[in-house]
Amino acid sequence: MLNPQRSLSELPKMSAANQVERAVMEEEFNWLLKEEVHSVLKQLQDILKEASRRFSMPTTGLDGQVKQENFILGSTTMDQVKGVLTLQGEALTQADINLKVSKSSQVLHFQFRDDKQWKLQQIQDARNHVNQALQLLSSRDESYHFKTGAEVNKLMDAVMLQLTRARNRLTTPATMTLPELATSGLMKMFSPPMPGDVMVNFYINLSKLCLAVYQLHVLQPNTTKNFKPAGSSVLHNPGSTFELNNNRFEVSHVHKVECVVPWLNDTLVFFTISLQLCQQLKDKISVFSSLWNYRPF
Amino acid sequence: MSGNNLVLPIVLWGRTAPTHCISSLLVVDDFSTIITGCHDGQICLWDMTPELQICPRAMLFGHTASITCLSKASACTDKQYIVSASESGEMCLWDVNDGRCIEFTKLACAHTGIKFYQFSLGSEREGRLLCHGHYPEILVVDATSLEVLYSLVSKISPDWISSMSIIRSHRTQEDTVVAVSVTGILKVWIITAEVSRMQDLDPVFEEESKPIYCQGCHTVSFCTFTQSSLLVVCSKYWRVFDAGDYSLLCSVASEADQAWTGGEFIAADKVIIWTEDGCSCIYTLPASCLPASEHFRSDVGKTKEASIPPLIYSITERTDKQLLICPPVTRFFYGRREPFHKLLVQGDSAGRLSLWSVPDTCPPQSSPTELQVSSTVSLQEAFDKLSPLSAGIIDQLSVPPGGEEPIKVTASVYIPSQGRLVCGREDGSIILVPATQTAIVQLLQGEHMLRRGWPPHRTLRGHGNKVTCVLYPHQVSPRYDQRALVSGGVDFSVIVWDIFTGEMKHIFCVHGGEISQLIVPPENCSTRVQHCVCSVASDHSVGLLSLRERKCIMLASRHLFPIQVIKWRPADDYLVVGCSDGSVYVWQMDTGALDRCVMGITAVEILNACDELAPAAVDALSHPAVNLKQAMSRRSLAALKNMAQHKLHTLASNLLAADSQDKALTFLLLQPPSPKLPPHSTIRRTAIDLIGRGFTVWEPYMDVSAVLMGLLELCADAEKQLANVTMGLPLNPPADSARSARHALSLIATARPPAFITTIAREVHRFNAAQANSQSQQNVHTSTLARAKTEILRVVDILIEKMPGDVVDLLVEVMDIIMYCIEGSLVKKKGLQECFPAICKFYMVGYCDRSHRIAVGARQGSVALYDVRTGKCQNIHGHKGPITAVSFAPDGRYLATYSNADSHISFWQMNTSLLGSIGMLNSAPQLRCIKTYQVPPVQPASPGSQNHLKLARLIWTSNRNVILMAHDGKEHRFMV
Repeated sequence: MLNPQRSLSELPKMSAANQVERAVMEEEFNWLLKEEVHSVLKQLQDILKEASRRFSMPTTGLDGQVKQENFILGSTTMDQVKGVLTLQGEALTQADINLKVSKSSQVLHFQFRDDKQWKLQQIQDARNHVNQALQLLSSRDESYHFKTGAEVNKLMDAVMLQLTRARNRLTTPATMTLPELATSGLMKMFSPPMPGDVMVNFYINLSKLCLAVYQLHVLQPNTTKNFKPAGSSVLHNPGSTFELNNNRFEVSHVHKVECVVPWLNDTLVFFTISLQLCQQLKDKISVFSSLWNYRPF
Repeated sequence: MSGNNLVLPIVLWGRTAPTHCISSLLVVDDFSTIITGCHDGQICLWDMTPELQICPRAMLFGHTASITCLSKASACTDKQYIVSASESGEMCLWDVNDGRCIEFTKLACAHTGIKFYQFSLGSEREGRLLCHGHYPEILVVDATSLEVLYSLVSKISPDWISSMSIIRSHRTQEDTVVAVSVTGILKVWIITAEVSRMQDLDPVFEEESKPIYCQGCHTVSFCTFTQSSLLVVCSKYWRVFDAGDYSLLCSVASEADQAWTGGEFIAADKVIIWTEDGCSCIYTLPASCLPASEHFRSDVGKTKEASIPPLIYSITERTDKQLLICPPVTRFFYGRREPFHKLLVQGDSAGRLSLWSVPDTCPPQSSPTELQVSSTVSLQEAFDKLSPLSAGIIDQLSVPPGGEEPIKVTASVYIPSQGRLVCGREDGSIILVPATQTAIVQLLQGEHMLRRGWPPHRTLRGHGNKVTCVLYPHQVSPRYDQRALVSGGVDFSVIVWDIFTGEMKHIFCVHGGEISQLIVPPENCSTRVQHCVCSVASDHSVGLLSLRERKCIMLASRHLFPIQVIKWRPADDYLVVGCSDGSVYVWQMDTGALDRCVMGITAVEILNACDELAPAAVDALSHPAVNLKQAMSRRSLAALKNMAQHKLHTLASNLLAADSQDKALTFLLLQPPSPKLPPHSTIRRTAIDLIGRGFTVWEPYMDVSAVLMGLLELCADAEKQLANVTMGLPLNPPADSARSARHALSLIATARPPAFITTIAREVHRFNAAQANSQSQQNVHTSTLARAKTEILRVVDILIEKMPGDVVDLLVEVMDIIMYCIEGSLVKKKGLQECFPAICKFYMVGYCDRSHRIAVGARQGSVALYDVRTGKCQNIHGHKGPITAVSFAPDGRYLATYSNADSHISFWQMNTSLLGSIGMLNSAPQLRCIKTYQVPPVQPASPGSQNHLKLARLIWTSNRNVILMAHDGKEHRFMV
């Protein structure tokens, strides 16, 4: 390993000992390129294949093979919203939502129309990104001989970009404005149709499948309250206001319930491990950067 | 830069061409220009003559990430526009003629392919860009405004589109978009005039969706010659489909280790296919693929893999080329106007463009012929050919005597106030030159060129290898010394120079990797931090290097990924580090403690919050509950103070009924756990944190005793909680609470030592009194004070270490606390020195292991005498000012006490007779002052409380002889 103190004080006088060290380092670097890189790539491939398998890539025409899983969101008695969601791969195929309206103690019940399902784009994107990372890795199998560290770095950068994206898709749900939410196709999925003062949203946050339900009330046009439409957010706060079709609404209640999807948790762990492996390989390469950039002065 | 001055940036490349690792390619319709985009986000325009000579013309800057695709964006030749898209979702519209960026837009997702599409509405012609990428639609974008007009979406298994082609129909107004999704499903959309006209309407659904089992498709292209076939290229095979019903006409697999990456029709019966490593092959299509042939569609429905069609030309990779760091990009273009070139263009990672002119005729031989490259040039070759050579800023200084290669400049900073330019170079030297003079020498031609010699300059030598960054802090903020110049290098060191004398002032060697960045902290940081520069190194560490103190005041390492961004929360004393994997680390600058490490939405929010000019409380007071929550989650002390000042009477949050912030905080800390406020919730932890950090603010409003006891309660089990956690984050909630409480306690103690000491001492007295009076006790071992003994000792230890002056002022109280916290039996067995070494540092504390007594000299002139066995304390009064030193004689018979204030030394006889120690255990020892001597006063070395602590000490040389040893070495000997 390079020692800072030494490289600082001894570099000008390039001694015989230094020459020997260079030779040793060169040998070590060659080993890194020939052996270590491939072993890391193999490890990465194994982990990512495992991750990709979790997404249970739907094989075309054989959709029935993808496993259906039921998730119960909001099981404590305190939750005013309860949802039973059926996830099949990347799509929500069924949804049952019960909403207790606090003032009237009436329970509203909605479910997906039979002909509809809702695709969770976050899952699809994560799956595609991880497959792209796998593709990048598969193009460099054991028979390939890496010639420079820069080449390895470039490959790692490309793989890490995909993996970071894959992970970010799951960890950072898309932010939406309230009007976007109100006009999204999701509102038209339910039977009985969702009333005008209720909105729902599904998203993935980390390994959790989340359901957000907003209760709205119409703001009187002559109200003195200064109206400021809310911006984009993953989860809006009570009191947020927005305008839609010349009506002004205010969010009166927000209910969020969630449930952990175990296989998403696995994939997140795989992504994190893979990213660390990539970074460690890059760090190893960078130890030798002074070697291949070396010019004696 | 203010006012009406126009600042024109000029880039001097020097002799070395910038890196240009080509990621995408485009040849404009008239074949006059080639455009290349690179992985670093720049775009290069290359002029091309009809003889295929190429020469780079301009470099366009506008993207922050790798260019993913390029497309033309106008149909007419008089104004040539192109559009470029990058990995980060940016899109730029450029004028090819002058290199201007005309339009810019940014979407959340990245485009991987763009196709230009023009349609005419009557006499009007409008341009559209069809984009696909990391999203499941095709976006139709206006080619002049870059606004998204509408999208083509899929009903059936929507997924990312990997490739797309537009089929133009000459017969009808309908054009067809054919695309292949990543899962290998072919999608067809019809764009009619009506569709093109509509804006912001419902999305357009596909006409047809057919699985063609082409996963990982690279290109799909339409045969413009026959108008009836499609070529689809995947890594492992390429296929030809009928463009009418999308039935498979032929399929060709790749050879063993080759991976196809693209292809195109070059004639009605010929295709060119290229591989990842830069080879290309031209094949003649079998008869079953040719509409003109009678055998057309003769193989449809047959599953057998067709034999490989005849290869007529091949293009292999260049043997002499440089090592590439990633696969080259290959594209095929053909001219629709003179000179009708059919061009195969390839760009590689070394910034080299190669052209092959593809002949229309077949070679005479039947065996495949090698096609020779028509023209090739790399950016560096073009730079080398220039005459005069492209100027660098200090070229005249860059070639060392006797050397060949110029030494590259690797970092530079221009100091306008001194008119100097500082250049760090790859050999580790830093050169200071007068900027204007240097620029004149380099850029203007004239008489001065005849004069030989270098302009006046100064060389700073100190770095062992490449200088990676230079910073002149005074130019960023006048608070820095105008002499200080800071440089960082590949040798892991940061060097501070005197810019005027050229002297090396200091070398910081705190990092374990190359220094990658030097940053100046913002204005409103603490004074200590204000005189620091922040250094970032490639070992993923960040340091705050104080130029004034010449030491590293904080080193934040432990980041697993490279550091991408450094942000500041000066009001809260936070340094926020964003890493390349999206994780965010929040560090306390003063203590160097890692406050937390987060990912996901919270990480994004924290980073964004740093950019807000004012803290959250300023805006929207209509929702105090939300504000409070936000301020709490961001731990913004400033925001909370701000809110406290605003006297928020209605904290709408139902868990907060208090009327001001400090009450709320105490409330949050002390409120017993309930379903609404669980014992270890984040909000409670945040309150703890805020109490600790803002104690001086809250103190007047708080029941200090209750707060301290609350904190002690929380960290009473800290040892247990934190012992299991070695270094892994995150902590479990109780451990996190314990950690926060412990930290808060240390902060409070060090901020207000007297408050801490007196409060705890009072609690101890109260406890002792209760112990003595009442028979019916609550269990002694479960009380907070009893459980938190270790914790209290830890804080006392810190106080002795950090603020000994404050401890000495209340030394008796401190001893009371220590006596309470340490078991008497333990002291008896091991001695005070071993049980609590810190307190024995004070000269005013003495311990006798014979009689098990502790003597403590107080500020008021009294001496407290503790009996370890009974825990009882007795006071003796003999001096008129603070006690300087006390000491027991080795046999325990005498106690010597000395006060510098009244300049007397006194000797006290301890009753340590056999009878006394055995028979009168419970009675107080009889004390008698047997001798008093006057001593000339000792002068402290210099004023300052620290010096008063170590004025003089007493050393017994025998049972009856004692030496008073002053700090300056003067001795006075006394005998009892």
